[in-house]
Amino acid sequence: MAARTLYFAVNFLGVSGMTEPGRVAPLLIGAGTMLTSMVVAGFLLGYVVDTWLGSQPVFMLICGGLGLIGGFMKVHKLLSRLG
Amino acid sequence: MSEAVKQSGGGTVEYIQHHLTNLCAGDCDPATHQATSFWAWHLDTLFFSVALAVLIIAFSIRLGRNLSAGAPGPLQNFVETILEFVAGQVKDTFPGHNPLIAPLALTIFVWVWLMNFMDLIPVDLLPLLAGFVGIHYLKAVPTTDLNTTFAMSFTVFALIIYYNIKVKGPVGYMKMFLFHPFGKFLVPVNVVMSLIEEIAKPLSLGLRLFGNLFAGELVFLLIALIGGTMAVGWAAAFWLPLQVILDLGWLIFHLLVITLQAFIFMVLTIVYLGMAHTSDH
Repeated sequence: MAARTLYFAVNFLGVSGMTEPGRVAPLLIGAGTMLTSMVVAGFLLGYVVDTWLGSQPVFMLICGGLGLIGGFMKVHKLLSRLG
Repeated sequence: MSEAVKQSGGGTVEYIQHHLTNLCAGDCDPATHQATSFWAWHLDTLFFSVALAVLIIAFSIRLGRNLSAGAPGPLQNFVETILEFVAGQVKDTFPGHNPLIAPLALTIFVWVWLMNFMDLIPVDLLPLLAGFVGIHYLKAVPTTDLNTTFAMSFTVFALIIYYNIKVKGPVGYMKMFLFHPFGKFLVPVNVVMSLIEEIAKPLSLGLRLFGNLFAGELVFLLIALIGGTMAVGWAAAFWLPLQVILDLGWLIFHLLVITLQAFIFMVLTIVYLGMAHTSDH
């Protein structure tokens, strides 16, 4: 009974890989995560370089900007797989 | 601020800090019980994560011995549903073929879910039981420890690097760093951007799981404090039912959160490993 309920729940939510939302969901999750985490990683890398060179906030802004651009490019690349 | 209020606030802070302190062994500060160097061991995190892994292995062995092709039992049906679900995700998201990915994804999903599930055990129960045997600090949820989430994310990251080098070759991987995404005229920018992209992967895996579970644990602690600090005398008639209702509400919602976080960790692992397997990076 529990197994059957889970099976129907999984299919209803469309994450079983059998439906269109199920196929799209992982890529959307990946795209959203990549965009945000690349911006954060960019700022973090810039912060480390700035702390090292004592040049705050030059590299933090440059790397943050590069992270944002790279994030958008990654999202485009990931979502282009959907056709 | 009166002395009573100060004491009440101090007690509340102490209660939360106590519940968020790991059982530390090795190079630990004797006063704060925080790690002071790399060689500190969070024994509670290690114990619960290993115990849950052993539980998965024992359960799998038991199930494997009782498999039936003709008339599967309810337990086998249940496991097959989870298996099909994970296999479906891998099939849809992962380009190419690698026999390691589906078992890895399944292991991550089940293990992370079980570790997250420890959050649903009443916050005071396990520390109280541990207190009876002389253990004064116990943090029962391994995924609320940054060491666990980053250990898992770095493992996945090591696999990403391994498959990047295996699929693209060492030269191909270096080329990706140097010439992706703006071509040969902007090599310094390409290196920085590729570096950011690589750092983002373990960061997104580890920090999100930790953040969600840590916040969830904190909300459980705050709800537990309602009964602990305000329910004095007749006020208990109001505050205790409120605590029960809030706790139940958060527990039901958190059941969704822990499943979603385990699912996202699994999906991101598949997506990132999928990226490592595509040569047009």
